[in-house]
Amino acid sequence: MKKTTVAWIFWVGAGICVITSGLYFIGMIPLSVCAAVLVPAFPITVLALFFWWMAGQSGGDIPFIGY
Amino acid sequence: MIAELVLATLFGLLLLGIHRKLIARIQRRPGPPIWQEILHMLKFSFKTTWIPVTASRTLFVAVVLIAIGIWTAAFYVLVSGGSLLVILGIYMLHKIVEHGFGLSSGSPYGKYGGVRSVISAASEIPLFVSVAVIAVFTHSLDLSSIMQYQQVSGPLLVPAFPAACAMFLVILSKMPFGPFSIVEAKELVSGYKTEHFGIWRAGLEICNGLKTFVLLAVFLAVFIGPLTLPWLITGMILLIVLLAFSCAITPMMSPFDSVTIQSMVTGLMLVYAAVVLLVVHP
Repeated sequence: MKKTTVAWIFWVGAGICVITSGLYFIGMIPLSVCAAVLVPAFPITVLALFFWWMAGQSGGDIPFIGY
Repeated sequence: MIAELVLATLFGLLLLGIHRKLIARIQRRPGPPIWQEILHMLKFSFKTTWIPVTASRTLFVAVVLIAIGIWTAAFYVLVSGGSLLVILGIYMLHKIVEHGFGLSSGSPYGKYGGVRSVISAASEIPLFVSVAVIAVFTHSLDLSSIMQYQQVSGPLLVPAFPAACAMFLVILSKMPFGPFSIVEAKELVSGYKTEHFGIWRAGLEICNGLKTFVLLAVFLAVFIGPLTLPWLITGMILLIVLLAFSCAITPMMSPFDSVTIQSMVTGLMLVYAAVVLLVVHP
């Protein structure tokens, strides 16, 4: 996946997390709706952030399978 | 709520750092700084990352997302004072996720770690029989109701002390370097997470931080009652000190011994639950 794509995923995810939390904070949505949005959005945002920082463009590797 | 979630994750990682530091000091080693787990998470997030060619690509990535997602859900169940059963269900899901971590990598170490995760689940999950005792006392399994009961009747830690010990054993089973940490034993390199490196491991560190925070907070909510934030933080630090002492002075058991001891405690808990149900609160 290209870094620009991952950066977009991060910014969209972070936006969703912040907006949902804001809406809950001002009482426009209940906690259950806030949680339903954040449970899938938070992991995707976190991994997208990490990927954006340092994702490699190389292919796979063969794992160590013992001596 | 996202701020609370991030802070809970960071505090959970800090607690794991305190855990490591205390174990080291008890064993007369200098040990890492207490923020080491936060640094670990950041360090892994800056590593170049790819997916091993032997891995099941979808499962390899999905388990990391699921691991963070389920403990995010557990955090909101805790915050909303929801059902204790949901949190225990998430704990069981975590065992399945650990299994997925191991199987998805294609590494024999990961696979053995995953298999051990299932073995340990078979003996850890029955310890939830302690929940039955809580239900007998409070007539509810909602965290909010359990805390309300304790506001009126005092902490459940005193009348339900054996149940608290069983729950402590469940949390001890999830702590690193503990006597029951058979899924991460050194003979398996890093167990189920051997092949999850770089950002995948950083994601797993976030999951561990959240998991530690949620499990300790749930223990305090169930056995101490509602606490203000300073007391909650103090209680969690005290609990982590107890856990660190337990981990530092006991060797890591073999899978057979681990399962045997947990099963024996489960048997004792069943007897205790029966006594409470039939004699104390008929």
